[in-house]
Amino acid sequence: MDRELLKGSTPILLLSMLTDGPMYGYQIIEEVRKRTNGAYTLKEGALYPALHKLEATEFITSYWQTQPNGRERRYYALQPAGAAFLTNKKQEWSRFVAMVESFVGSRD
Amino acid sequence: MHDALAAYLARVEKGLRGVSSGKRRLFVRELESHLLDEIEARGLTSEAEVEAMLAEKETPDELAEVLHQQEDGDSQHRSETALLGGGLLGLATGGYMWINSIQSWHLNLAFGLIHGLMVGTGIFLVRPYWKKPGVEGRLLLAALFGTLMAIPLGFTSTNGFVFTRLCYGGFTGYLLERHSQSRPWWQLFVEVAAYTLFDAFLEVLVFQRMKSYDWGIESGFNLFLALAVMAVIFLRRMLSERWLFTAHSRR
Repeated sequence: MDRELLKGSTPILLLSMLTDGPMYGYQIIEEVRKRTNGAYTLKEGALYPALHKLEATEFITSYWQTQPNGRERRYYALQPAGAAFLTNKKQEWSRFVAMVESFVGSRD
Repeated sequence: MHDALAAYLARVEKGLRGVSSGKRRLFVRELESHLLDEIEARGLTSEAEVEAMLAEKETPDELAEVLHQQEDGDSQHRSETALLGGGLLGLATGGYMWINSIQSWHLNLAFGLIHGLMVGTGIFLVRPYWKKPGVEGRLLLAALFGTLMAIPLGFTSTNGFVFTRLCYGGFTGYLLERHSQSRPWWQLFVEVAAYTLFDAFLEVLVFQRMKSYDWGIESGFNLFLALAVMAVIFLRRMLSERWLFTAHSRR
């Protein structure tokens, strides 16, 4: 799989995952690995800059939460502006896929 | 903590020199929490296992470099858009006063500059730092900060210090914070109407600065200010969306 293609989609991928609820960094990496059957491993150096950028645009927010074992985790949660942005991007994505499919898809 | 992990984090922290100490601490704390989660999930206990896990990762120098680049890019984007947003806000309010000949041109210019570059830009720059309070707390902070930044606005009049000018700062802060997340448009008009009534109450009844309130000019100004705030928020959002997909250049 073209890693550059996936890299460019990281913000959308992250926003989509956060629609299910707040998540923490390691959980996101594991979820990406699981959903792509290990084909794509998101590294910390790609994840955190993307999360921080999304936070700077106010599409997501973050907060620390203490776990029962006393350790703290930083959770990221989707904001209404991020949800609206994601909806637009999903529509764009569907149109793009349909367009590319009309060229590269089967012509039966 | 494992020695290997402590050494890894120390090298990342060293590579983040140049980033503000607050951000540096935050990045390292977040990374530590992340790596401890992974150690726990993978059930690693020995030093050798942790070392092997860290060997799979980017080197601390590489990681520090990308975090540093991202932070540089973030702060540059924040400053540029805050300045642009504030400038446009000041242009709108100062321009409205100038077009309607509300005061002499130099006082209108001073009003626009202070309102835009102190209140507008100031709020845009500090907003990212007040995430802890809830929605109401952030609104209150924004209104208070706007009021504080608007103190020089009180002097932009030939009639001495005008206390109600501070309220414009508070109202701007309120609008910028409240509408930074999508809200129905009708709320904006209700807010403008409510603020105009409040302003009239202060000007006519409390400070008795005016005998009759000029509803047309005053509500027009408040509406223009609110629309300018919305336009600036829209512009910043548009720039942020484009910036989101921009990769930072390597240092």
